[in-house]
Amino acid sequence: MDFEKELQLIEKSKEDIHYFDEVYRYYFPKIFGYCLNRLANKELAEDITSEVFLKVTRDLSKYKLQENIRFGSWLYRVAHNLIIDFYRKNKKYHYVSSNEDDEIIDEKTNTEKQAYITESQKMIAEVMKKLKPRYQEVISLKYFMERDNEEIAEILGMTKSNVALLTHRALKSFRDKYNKNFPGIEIFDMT
Amino acid sequence: MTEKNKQKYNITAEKLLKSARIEEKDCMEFMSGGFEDSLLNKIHIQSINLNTEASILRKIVCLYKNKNFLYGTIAISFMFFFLLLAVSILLLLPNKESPKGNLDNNTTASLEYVEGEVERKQLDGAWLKLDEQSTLAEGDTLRVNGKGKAVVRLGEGSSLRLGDDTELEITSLNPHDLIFTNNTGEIYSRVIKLDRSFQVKSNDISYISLGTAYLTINRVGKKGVEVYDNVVNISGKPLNSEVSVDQGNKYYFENNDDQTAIGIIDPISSEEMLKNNFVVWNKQEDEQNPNYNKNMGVLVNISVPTLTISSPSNNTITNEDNIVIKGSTDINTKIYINNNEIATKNGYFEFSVTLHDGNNIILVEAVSDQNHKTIKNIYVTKSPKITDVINPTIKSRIIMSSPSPTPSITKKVTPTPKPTSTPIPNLGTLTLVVTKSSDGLNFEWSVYGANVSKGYKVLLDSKPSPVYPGSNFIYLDDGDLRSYKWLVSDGKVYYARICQYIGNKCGIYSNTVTITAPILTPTPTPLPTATVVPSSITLNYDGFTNVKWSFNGEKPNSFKVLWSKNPNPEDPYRLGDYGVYITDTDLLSANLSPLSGVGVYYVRIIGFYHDGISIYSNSIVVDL
Repeated sequence: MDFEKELQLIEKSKEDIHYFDEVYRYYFPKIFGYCLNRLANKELAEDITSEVFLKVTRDLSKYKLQENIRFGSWLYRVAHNLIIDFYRKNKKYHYVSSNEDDEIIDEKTNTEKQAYITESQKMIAEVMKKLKPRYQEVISLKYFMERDNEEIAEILGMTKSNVALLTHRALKSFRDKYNKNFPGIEIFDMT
Repeated sequence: MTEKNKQKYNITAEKLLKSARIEEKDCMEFMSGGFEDSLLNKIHIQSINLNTEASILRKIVCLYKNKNFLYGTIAISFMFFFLLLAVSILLLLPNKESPKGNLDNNTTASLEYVEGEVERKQLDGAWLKLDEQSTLAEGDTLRVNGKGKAVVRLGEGSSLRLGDDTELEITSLNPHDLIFTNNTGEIYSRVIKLDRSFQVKSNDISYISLGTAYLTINRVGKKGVEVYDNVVNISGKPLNSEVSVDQGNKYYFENNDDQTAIGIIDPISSEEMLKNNFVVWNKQEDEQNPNYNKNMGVLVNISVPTLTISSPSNNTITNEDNIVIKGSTDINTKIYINNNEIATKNGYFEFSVTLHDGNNIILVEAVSDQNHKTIKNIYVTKSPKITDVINPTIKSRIIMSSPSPTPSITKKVTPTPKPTSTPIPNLGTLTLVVTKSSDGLNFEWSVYGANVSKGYKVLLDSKPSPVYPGSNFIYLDDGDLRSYKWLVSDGKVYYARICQYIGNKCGIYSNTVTITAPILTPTPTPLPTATVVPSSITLNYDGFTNVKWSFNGEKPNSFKVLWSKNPNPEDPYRLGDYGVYITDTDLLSANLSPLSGVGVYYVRIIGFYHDGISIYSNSIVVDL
């Protein structure tokens, strides 16, 4: 969505929420996708997505461009914080079957391109929640949302070079925790 | 777990994450039917719920325009609910104005002056640095982080001045009911006389004034108010009734320095005011403002020397090595710059100060015959004006602001006149030398007079003047270290420096060194003289997910099975290539997973020998 247009719509939305519809339609799939990738559970993703949009529209009057936060960035930030909160409050929440005889990588269930969360996606979500929040955030933005370092820098309020450094550390941490959690499949650092 | 499951799939974390990503276009398939529309309806309803009566009516009109009877019914229900609520509130609190008032007519607020680091809290809780003239709004929280000052100027003419380590929340900018919250630190409020309420809250206490100069204090061990002009009314817990504090008096709720001064109205002595540099500074600020200087109250009792800095202005950024401090004071008043007394002539002074890279705080003190002081800090940032040209093969030494004997200097510098007066006090220097090796950059430094007990931050950036936080860094907690090797071999130009780590930030920075990183070139592999190389590796497919291979000639040291949806998968990988590294050379089969989704994959195997020799098998196509 054109930035100027988005800004105008948000300003008008403060007076009349119907102007927000177009912004909503644009960002809804992105935020839902973000939550789905992070949570690997459609019901939870729906719940968090609902919370995100209800919260930002409730606080719309507080949104100020001069704070250098693009609206989309704000949405992602809110989503991220709500997911972190969810994990904090639900520490025992697990996605993956504890049955070690299960096939570790079994994506054949996805052969018909139906809407299944694969084991692999659940495993990733399981590992992701064990990372530091900052690591979760940078991995999500880079690999789930496919944001470039410049955009991530804007969202996280840091320099591009620091984003690269943070990503490197986050991937290392992800790899280590993944290998520890799922010893049957080992990730190597080949980059 | 079966042996098969213990197989190691050689895939990077990055590729695994990318492969598992649920595409945006596919996300909608996961969603419950109607969820998107249902949520939008909730947003609309919430908005109606939150808006005023007029806004609700507008929404209802919009909803009826959409011919959505259900929305309309819901909206009308909410309208009745709010009407009832509004009537109830009006009946119960007939004389109480809404603290929010008309937001459209709010008093404006802006950050008029910044000294040091001033930040505003973001919605996500992070703090963002603010510059002078930033516009502020109701609900904003700002702080002076560490030593510094900030002045918030209101459109109606009043000001709030924040001292060191102080946090202020702008609670209400309703022009009839201005409310500020002093979360921590000290806030000096200079309130102009108007027919409205002006209050600063702190914990459960409200300090209310219509036209006053007063200081609210909310620090650990000291909480209360000092009134310099007019009257301040205090209310709230733990007071049973409102307390009025006249000018020249103080009232503390907490005072670890003097427990007997708690809960009583006590006079403030001139000496007390004189000791408080923040109060002295506020007095001087008020004196210079024609809106304030007619109501100085007891501040007139503060007799301190005048101190005017004509140049440089605060927060100056320069790329010069020195800066000249010019100003004036009273006759017979001594001037100290960075603790060194300097000469004055008829009250005027001029002194050159050597700057180090980064932030410099220049301390200027005027001391009267009675030993009364006026102190001003000048904040100056120095950014390098030159790109130091360094031959990477030669060690180059660059010294900045170092009082030590001058070593050889290899930089292009326009000579600047040296200070003619007393040099600045020795704050210490770090001198950095960076040289290039085959696989990285060697940092070596010397320390002169600086306290490095907390270690260093080694900084490397593609932009000039790397800083911490901000640039790539390595933290070395051992202050005895004098060298570090940074592994980088991309052939790019970098700016390097180190800094004295003082906890959360850097103190003294070294000189900046510009240097090109080496390019790591693989050493040519000598041809094996007596190595038997296999003639081939043959790969086969069992029709399911297993591939098998065989070889002739010398047994490789290891294998790597490569598969991809793109033809001829390679090592190193291209985008979409996956691999399994197998060190057990007796294992001659592998189970493959469709890591890029089900479909046709191209598979090859590569055998690795000593001396960097490797050989690819035939490529086969498998359906995973």
